Amino acid sequence: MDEIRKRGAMNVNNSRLAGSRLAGGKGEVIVLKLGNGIPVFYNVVPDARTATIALGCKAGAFFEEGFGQKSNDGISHFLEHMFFKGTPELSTREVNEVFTRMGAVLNAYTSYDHTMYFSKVPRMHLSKAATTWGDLMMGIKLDPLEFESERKVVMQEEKLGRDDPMSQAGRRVHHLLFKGTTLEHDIIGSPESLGAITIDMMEAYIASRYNPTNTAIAISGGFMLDEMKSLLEDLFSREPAIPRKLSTSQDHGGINPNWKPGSTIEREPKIRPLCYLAASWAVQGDIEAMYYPMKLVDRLIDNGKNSLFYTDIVSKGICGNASFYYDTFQDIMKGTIIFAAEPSRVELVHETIMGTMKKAKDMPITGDLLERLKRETIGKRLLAFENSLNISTMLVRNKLCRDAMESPVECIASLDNLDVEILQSTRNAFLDGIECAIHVTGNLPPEWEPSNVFE
Amino acid sequence: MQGESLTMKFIIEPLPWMHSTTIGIATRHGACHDNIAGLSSVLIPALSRGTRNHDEKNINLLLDGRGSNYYAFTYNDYSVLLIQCLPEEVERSISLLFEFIDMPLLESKVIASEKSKMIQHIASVLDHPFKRLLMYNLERSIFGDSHPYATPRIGFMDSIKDISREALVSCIESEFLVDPMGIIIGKVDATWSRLKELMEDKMDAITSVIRDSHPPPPPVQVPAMNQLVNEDPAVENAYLGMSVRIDPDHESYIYTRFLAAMMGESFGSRMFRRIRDELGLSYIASTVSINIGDHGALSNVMDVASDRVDEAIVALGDIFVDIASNGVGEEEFYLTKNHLLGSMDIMADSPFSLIPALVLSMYHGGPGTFKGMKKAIENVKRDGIHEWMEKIFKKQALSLSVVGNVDPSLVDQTWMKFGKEVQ
Repeated sequence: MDEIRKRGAMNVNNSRLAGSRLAGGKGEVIVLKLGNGIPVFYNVVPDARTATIALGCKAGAFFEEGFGQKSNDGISHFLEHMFFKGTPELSTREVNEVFTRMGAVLNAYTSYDHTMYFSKVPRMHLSKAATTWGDLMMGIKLDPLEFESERKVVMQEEKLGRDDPMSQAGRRVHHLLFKGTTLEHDIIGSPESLGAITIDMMEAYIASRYNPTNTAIAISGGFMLDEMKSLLEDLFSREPAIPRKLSTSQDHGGINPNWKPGSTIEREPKIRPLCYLAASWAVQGDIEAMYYPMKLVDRLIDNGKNSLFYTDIVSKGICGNASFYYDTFQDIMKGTIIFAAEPSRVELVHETIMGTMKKAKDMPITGDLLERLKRETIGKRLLAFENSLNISTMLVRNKLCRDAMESPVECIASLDNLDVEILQSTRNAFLDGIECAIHVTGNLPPEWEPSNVFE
Repeated sequence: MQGESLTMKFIIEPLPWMHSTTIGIATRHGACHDNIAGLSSVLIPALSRGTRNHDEKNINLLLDGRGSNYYAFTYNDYSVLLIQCLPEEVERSISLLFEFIDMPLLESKVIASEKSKMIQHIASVLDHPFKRLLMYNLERSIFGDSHPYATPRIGFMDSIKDISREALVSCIESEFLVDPMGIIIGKVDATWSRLKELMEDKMDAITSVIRDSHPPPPPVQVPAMNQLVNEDPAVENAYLGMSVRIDPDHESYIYTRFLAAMMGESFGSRMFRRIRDELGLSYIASTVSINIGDHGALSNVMDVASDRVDEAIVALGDIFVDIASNGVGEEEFYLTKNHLLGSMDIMADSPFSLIPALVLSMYHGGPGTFKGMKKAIENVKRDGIHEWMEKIFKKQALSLSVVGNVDPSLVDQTWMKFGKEVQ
């Protein structure tokens, strides 16, 4: 095993706010590589009663062949389901019962640029959980009967999304913004693409994406480091049942070079009790430099009861459902606002939201504001870091999506080291001169042309 | 630990591995006690939006602004206000919590905005068929349309419009504090007794009426095999909830938890295995357990494509029939028991998951402590589960609720056919 470095231990004093809370192991991370090159992050918390193992892979909708040919849209997510279906030695029922017996939190998700699998278990069960994950990752079996049964479940999941108007609005505006690029299609795929995915296609996808250079593992919580190191080495040094290619190009080829963020407005007239308006925009550039400052920008705009969205919109009862979020995909950062309102109030809500975004864009970034945002963000992170699930998934996601290896202590220190200038430049890069793609669902007057610029 | 002051019970749970503390107040006042449907759901968020000592901005800076998490909710028959914070914020947070329940301003503009939020929230629930099933239809099918237990926690658009400031003030001053409990969980070291004393002092100084209990609700009267179908051709799928009601004398929090876990709370449960893995019928396949007053209910809920609704009703019915006729095998019994014990450890890492379980346990005559609940789970015997199931699984207690794109006559036909097979 090749030790990369120990993260965090030397940096505890970097953050005046982290204090002793993340000391004594809680905020430190040791990064080691398995013999086959998979990086493993260990965050040992000696007195923890539970532990989480998270495994992630650079596999997601971004890497599918959807661009130009709709053959395998949704394969990453379908495969995520199939990883729970056992191995030649372990039936689906046995997999489910292993984790059920532990009382585990067991789940997975697929995004555009990675897929994450995780289990949080009482510490005495961690070895068994890690062993089962090792068996599933190396021995995945694509049994035809299980494959067809799970295809029905995934197709039903896709159909389920169509009954959720808020999520549907987010999906539609995403299509609009990234039309003609590798980001255009839905993570879950379409009924047609899901119906066309074959076992052969999935095996080829596993071979090309689920290789050691695209994989990362993190364990956080109560466990013995040496025992876990040796167990993981044994589990992942085995020959996989489906041979994996050593991929040389690990990233997607970038989105269509001719793409420019769209400013289209699309209407979907439909009689519903509420109207849904989704606005989305994107910036392209040095997203990594924006990673930590965006945590504060997010808190300034939307996150928490001191945010502009809360004070200007939610607390005034202007609409019942309004959300703002941002996503990153390699060198692209996307912002999205979705709200639901009664048809008679849509114009007022839209005007208020645009006014709030303008306020966020123009607000002077003072030292006091910076300190408030930092205190709030760091306090929330400290509480979130009590949960090994948050730590382990963060470590894997950071490695896969940013090639970063920051411990919780370093994460706190990075937030604490932000200054007015970087916060201001990040806010400006994210909001200045932005034109949104807009999708409106509902029975709205056709003459209404919502503004899509944060003027 | 569990203690009592003159006016207040306590849940005190030291979790030494945590670096935050969560403090809270629980009260046995919930949606079923509201004289206007949804009143508590408007009241709870309004409480933290200004007190005689702190305006809203000030409160938000003292809570969110210092990294604390504030969480308050109303369930059918209880409400909880919680603050999770770093240790240096605990005493300030206790003071704020008691200000929320003892000296809220309840300004007219705040009430107007909370009502407006709630009305629009209701509209969004009505526009989402699965949420509509869970919030509006499930409990109506179980307890009957007009029973207080069927009152939706978020009320109705019209009832929310009827809520006045006077009604909210009257509720907080004379109805809201019923059998109140203090909660101190997390990093609780030698200071816990001081925190408890502080909370007792605050409770003793409260000017509002503190009640022992609310008057009992009327008896539940629902026809056997009750069904409630809400046809909605505008949606793609159908959403089902098949329930068994647990009547007084049989209500048992631990047994309800046990059966819910076995039927649909994990990948190894019957719902997941049969409905999702074997039949590929559904994406959501889980069990909701309901504990209200001296009643309870277990509901198996799922989504299904509209053209497979009859298959779904048969499959859900088979799960009930199989459990009622064949009971629980030894292997499944221990699988469920171990699952519940393990999940208690997992919950103990997350106060906002653990606290509702402890509060419910305590209000339903259970131990209300982490260790006590684990012991109660360990003590569950297979024979005890069998005897209990024989009492609760009866035709009179079964009900079905369906929302979505369905043919009501097909639902009726399939449900009635199932009813003939059930004793």
